[in-house]
Amino acid sequence: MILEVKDVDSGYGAEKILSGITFSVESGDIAGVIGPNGSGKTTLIRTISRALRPSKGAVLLSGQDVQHMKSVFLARNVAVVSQNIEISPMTVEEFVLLGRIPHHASLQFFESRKDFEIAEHSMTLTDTLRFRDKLITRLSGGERQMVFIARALAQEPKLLLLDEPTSHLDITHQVITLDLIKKLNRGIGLTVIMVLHDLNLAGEYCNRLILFSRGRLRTTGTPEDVLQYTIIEEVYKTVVVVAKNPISKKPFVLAVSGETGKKKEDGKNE
Amino acid sequence: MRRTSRYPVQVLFMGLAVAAIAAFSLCVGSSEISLRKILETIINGKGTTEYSIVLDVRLPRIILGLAVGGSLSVAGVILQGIFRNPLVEPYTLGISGGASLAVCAGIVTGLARSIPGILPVTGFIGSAGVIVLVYFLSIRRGVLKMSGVLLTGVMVSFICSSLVMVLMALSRAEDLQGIVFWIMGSLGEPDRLLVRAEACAAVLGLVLSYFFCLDLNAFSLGEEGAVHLGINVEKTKRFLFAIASVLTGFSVSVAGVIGFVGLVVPHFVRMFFGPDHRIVLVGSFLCGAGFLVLCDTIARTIVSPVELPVGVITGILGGILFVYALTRRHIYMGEK
Repeated sequence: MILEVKDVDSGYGAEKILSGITFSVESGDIAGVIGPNGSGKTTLIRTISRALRPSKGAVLLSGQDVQHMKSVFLARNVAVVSQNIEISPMTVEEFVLLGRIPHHASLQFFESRKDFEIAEHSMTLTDTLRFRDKLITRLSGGERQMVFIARALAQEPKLLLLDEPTSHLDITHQVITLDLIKKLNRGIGLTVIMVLHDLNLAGEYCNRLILFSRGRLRTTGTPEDVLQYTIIEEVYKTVVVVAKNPISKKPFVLAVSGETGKKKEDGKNE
Repeated sequence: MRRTSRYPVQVLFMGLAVAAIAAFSLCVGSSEISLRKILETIINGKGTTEYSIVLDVRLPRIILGLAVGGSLSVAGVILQGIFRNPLVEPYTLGISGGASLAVCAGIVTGLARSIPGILPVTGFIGSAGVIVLVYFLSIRRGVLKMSGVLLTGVMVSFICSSLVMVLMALSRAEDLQGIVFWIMGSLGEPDRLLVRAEACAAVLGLVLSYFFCLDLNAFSLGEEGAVHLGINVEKTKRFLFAIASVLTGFSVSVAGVIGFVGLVVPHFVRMFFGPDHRIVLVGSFLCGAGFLVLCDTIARTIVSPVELPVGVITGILGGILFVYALTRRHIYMGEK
C-alpha cells in the first residue's frame, strides 16, 4: 500500500473543504479522482502533496506521515503536475531539469551528468526530446502538458499526482496524455492518482475510481462499481445513461439533456 | 550547447567590462589622468595631487558605486524572483521611503548638525523600521503573503513620501537643500568606513543569495510548484526577503535614493542570459555595478564642474534602455 489517507479533514484556514476522507491506493494503481466541481478533488491533491496541512487525520506515504517527512524526501517520492503551472521563458530542457532540484546534494549548484541523463530519459518517455532547445513559452498546450509530465518524471517519483491533466486539451492530446500515463504505469510501475473531469476517460484509463461529493468520499471501487447510473445521477444531479464501450468493455456515461431527462423521469413514474 | 556551459565565459566577460568601466571612471573627471599615469602614481606617487585625486576621491567613489549598483540589482533579482512580479524593485517595498523620512527628520530636527555622520544611521533605522512593519503586517497564520507585502509596501511608501513633503514644506531653506540633495542620491560619500561596510554588505549579500539560486529557479513555477520540488518555501522567502532588505537598506543609507537600477538591470540580464538565477544573480551584480559607475561618471562629467545627481542619469538612461528592451523583448524572451 503506497498511500493511505486516514480520516482526513482539510481546507483553507477556517473553511473546511474535505471531511472524514479515508481511502488507500495500492502500488501500481491508476486511481481516478472524480466528482462535481467544488467537491474537493483539487484540495485532496494539495493535501496529499503537502501544499495544505490536514486539520485532522493523516496522509501516509509507504506508512510514513507526509507531514513529518523532510520536504526534499517527499519531493523525491511524489511529483505533482498541477492545473495552473506558471512558466517563464526557459528552454524545455532547463524546465525539465528543475525536476532534478530535490535530488541535488547540498551546495550542488549545477546538474551532474546523471541529472542530464535522467532529464533526457524523461523527455524521451514523453516524446518531448525534439523540443529540448525550444522555449517552453512557444509550445502549444498539448506539448506543454507533456513537458510538465517530463519535469515530474525527472523527480523519479514513486507516486505521480495529476490535477486534471486533460482539461483544455483536444481529444487527440487527451488520449496521448492518458496513453502516456498508462504506459508509464505499466513500464516503470509508477503509481498514479489523477483528478479527471471526464467520467468516460476516467472509466477507460483508471483501474480504481474515487468519487467525491461535497467534500466527502461517496464511494470507491472499480469503474464498473462506481460508474452506475444511480450513483452518478445522485452525485451529479443529472440524468445519465451508463453503457459499455463495445471495444474496451469499460463503462461510459452519457448525459441526457434536462428536457429529455424530465420525460424519462416522468416515464418512470407512470 | 547548453546555456550553463557558457556561464563562466559570460561572467568573465562581464567582469572585464566592469573593470574597464571602473578604469575609465578613474581616468576622467575635472583633471584627466591617463591610465599609465594612474599606475605610476599608485606605485610611487604618494603625496602628489594626482595620488589623492585618484585614491582618495575617485577610487572610494567607484567602489561605492560598484557596491550600491550590485546590491540594488541583486535585491531586485531576489524580490522579482520571490514575488514573481517583474515590476517589483527594491524601492517598491517602502524601504527607500522609510529611509528618506528618517533622514529628513534627522535634518529638520537638527540632529544631523549636532552629530555629524548620523544620517546613514538614521536612514538605516528608517528602512529597517519600514521592513519590520511591512513584514509583520503581512504575516497571516505564519505564512508570509507576498501580495500583502507588496501592497502594504506600496502604501507605506506613499505615506512616507507624503510625510517627507510635509517635513520639506515646514523646513528652513538650508535644511531643504540638504534634504533634496540626499533624496536625489549621491555616491560622494567621504566616510571610508561606510564605503567599506557597504562593499562588504554587497559581496556578502551576493554570496548568501547565491545559496538560494536553485530555490529561486523553483519559485518560477509558483510557490506551490516550489513546495512540490521540496523547497521550504516559507523559510526561503523570509531569508531572501531579509537579504534583499538589508542590501537595500544599506545602499539607501549610504548613497540615498538611487532609483531604477534594481528594476532595470535584472530585466536586462534575464533578457540576454535567460531566467536561470545561477547566472542572473552574478550577472545582475556585475551589470548593476558597472551600470551605476558608468552613470555616476556621466553625472559628474557631463556638465562639469556642476555635478548632476546620479539618480537623474540612472533614471534617464535606464528608462530609455528599458523601453527599448521592451520593444525588442520578443526576440529574447518569446511571447508569453
